Amino acid sequence: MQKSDEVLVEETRKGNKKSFELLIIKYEKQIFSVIFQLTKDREVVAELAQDTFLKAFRAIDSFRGKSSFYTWLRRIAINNSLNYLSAREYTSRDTESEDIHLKRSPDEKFGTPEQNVLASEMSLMVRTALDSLPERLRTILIMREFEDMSYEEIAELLKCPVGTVRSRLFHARSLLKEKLSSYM
Amino acid sequence: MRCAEYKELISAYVDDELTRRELKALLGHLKVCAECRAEVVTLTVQKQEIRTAISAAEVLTPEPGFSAKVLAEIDGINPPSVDASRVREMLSTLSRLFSAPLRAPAYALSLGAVVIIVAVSGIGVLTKENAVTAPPHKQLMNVYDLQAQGATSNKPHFSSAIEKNGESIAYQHLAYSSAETIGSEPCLLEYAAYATAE
Repeated sequence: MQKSDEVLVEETRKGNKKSFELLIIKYEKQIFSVIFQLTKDREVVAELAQDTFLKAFRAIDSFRGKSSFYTWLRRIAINNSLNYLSAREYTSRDTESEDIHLKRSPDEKFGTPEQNVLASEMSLMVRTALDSLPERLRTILIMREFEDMSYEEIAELLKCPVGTVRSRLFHARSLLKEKLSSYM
Repeated sequence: MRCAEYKELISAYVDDELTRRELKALLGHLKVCAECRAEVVTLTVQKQEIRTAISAAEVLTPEPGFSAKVLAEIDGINPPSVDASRVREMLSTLSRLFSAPLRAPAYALSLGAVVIIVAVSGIGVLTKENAVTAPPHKQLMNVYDLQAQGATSNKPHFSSAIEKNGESIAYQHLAYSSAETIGSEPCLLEYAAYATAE
């Protein structure tokens, strides 16, 4: 029978690394996915994911089970991704996201050619518009629409009031709408 | 309330994040405003399009053996015991990190930290907490080492004498604190360094 996360966490606390490996195996895909969605940078995903799991392992004693293990782990992954994005923004403020988009081929942004064919034209347009949003608006939309996080969860993670989350999402959507209408 | 203000409510409405009072106000407005009703439709469709677009995007999967790699990393930073030489090595790393001479007052002051001088039994104490943070990749070793020692409080865990002409003139300490929380749960640990003048 498969062990529950609670049991695996408890065993990890007692020093059973094999149990922690099971938690990694269980959640690695989701963690890779959320990091990739947020950073859009395939080069750093594995490194940030590894760092996420290492931090989780080190801080396992501080996990008190108020949320699910995945929710807790995801917060670490999102924090890691946001830290990476702000560091990247700091080091390349002049070249910012526009350059990053220009340097990437469509394949890098949207997947294999086969996937592109399968994806609808509309999805590609939305994705392009989404990727062109300012980082702080794009990431908050990803948290909401990809990760299904509540306003309260996002506010807690970003350490800002719920009203700010609401307002940023509103701006993100307004800007996205504007961009989409210019494509049509 | 004007339409512009209702539009922010509409964004929260499609997320099902309105309070009961806001919902009541918005629904009342929608009855009489065709433009805002159209906005609800637009944002609802857009929300669906965003979700579809995201799910259609490339999925990046971990390479085989990822978990083993993480475990190897955990093993690599998990020494069975921390001996005195390791502690000395760590404190030496600490001093290199801050690139400052190991003289207590100058050390604390040069970092631009808030310095609190407290007289305790005739001993001047220079305290600087949480003002110094080493680069993340260097924190890892230190944080881990502190955890390996079973650190559970902000009390100093490592101390070394700062000597001048063979005499101890001060002590440098390394403590750790839960500097960052994720939600309400402390998660990422950082250390604080401070010096005690003798």
